[in-house]
Amino acid sequence: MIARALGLLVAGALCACASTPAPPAAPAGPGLLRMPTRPLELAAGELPLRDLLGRWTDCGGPDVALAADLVDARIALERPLRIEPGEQARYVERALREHGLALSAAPQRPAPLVWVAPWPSSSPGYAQPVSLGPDELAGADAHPALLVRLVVPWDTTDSALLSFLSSSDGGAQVAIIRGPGCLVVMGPGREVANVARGAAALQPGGS
Amino acid sequence: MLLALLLTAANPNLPQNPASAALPELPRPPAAFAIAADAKLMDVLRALADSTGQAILVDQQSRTVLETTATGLLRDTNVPPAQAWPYVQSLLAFHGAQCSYELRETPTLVAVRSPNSGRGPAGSNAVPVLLEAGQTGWLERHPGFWVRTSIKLPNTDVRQLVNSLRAVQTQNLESVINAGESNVVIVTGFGSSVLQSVQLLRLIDEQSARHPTPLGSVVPGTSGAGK
Repeated sequence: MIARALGLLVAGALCACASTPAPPAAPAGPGLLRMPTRPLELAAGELPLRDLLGRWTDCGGPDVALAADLVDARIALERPLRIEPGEQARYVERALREHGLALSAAPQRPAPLVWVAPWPSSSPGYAQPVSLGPDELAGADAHPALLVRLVVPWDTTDSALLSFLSSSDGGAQVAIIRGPGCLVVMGPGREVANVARGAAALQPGGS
Repeated sequence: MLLALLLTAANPNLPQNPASAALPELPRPPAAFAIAADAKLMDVLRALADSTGQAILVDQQSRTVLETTATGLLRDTNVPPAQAWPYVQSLLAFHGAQCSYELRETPTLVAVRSPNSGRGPAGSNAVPVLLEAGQTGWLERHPGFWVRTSIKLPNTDVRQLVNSLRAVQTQNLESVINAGESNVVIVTGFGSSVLQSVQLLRLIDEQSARHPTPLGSVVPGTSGAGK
């Protein structure tokens, strides 16, 4: 059973790699976060992460509030970069995840304000995942650092598959529970989306 | 305990169409509300009270904390009038500070408690606002209020679900409990947190109706995220 699961996941990963250039479709309805209106232009060289976040806001993205004790992390750019509004959230949030950070959003959609804090965190602090339904996987995927709780259909009763799914996450970045007919996966959007795709591949008839 | 009554005045800027007549709404400022990036939370609260005429009560311990805590914002911002209270409440909630009604009748009196004062959520003695689960609009407008609601999940074994859900609860001291033998779940916490939990519970119940299968437990090794 585990071998079959591994095979399905590898096949799923290969399919994902083959289709990497095509991002998932944008979620319908209002976006989860306030969408920038101007391109983000970055010069080559080192850039403090907090400056990147501030520039995101300057382009019309959400206001950003930082947890007080964040380190002054940096990103390095080998060449100048121009990021169109629709791609800024993905770019900025990937940089956050590389530094072990995640976003919590104010409850309005699109959220005008986000909170940046370490994830996972051993210290008390605010973390408010957005609840998403099975048809909102693209929303999780479009926001690599946004904390979400995604409900994923799950009809399988084989507990070995579920354990395998949790171990395939590669770390304790997500929490998974099995609900009635579903899984609830909580964590940063990118990791959650990866687990959801793995769950779909493990379902009977999954690809 | 020293109570600081910041401002008491008539509220001329009440919203035109509150979604729920039973629950009080906070008055809007007359114009966009400006927040400086380097402002302290107490400065923001004081300015919003001045701008709206809303009476706010802050105990001395909470005041000490809020006067030394920066908002964390990276940029100055101007918030539209309709979003001023939700925005400021989100900032307060991010820092763990909690709002509650001391007086719900006009003129309303809002209390703000800091988590590090010993009177905030960790040792909270605030009375939660009780509301129906369908009042999500009010929750969205009041993310920093301490609230309690109940939701019926007709298709779900709520006792087992509540046990399992502990793994995907956050550290906002949100409480999710099942009400006796009924299929009702009671959720208490920040408005923003309760809003998201109600939506999650509904999504789970919808899945349960479509795929009635036995409920499992937490997957080993995955319950530590965020703890």
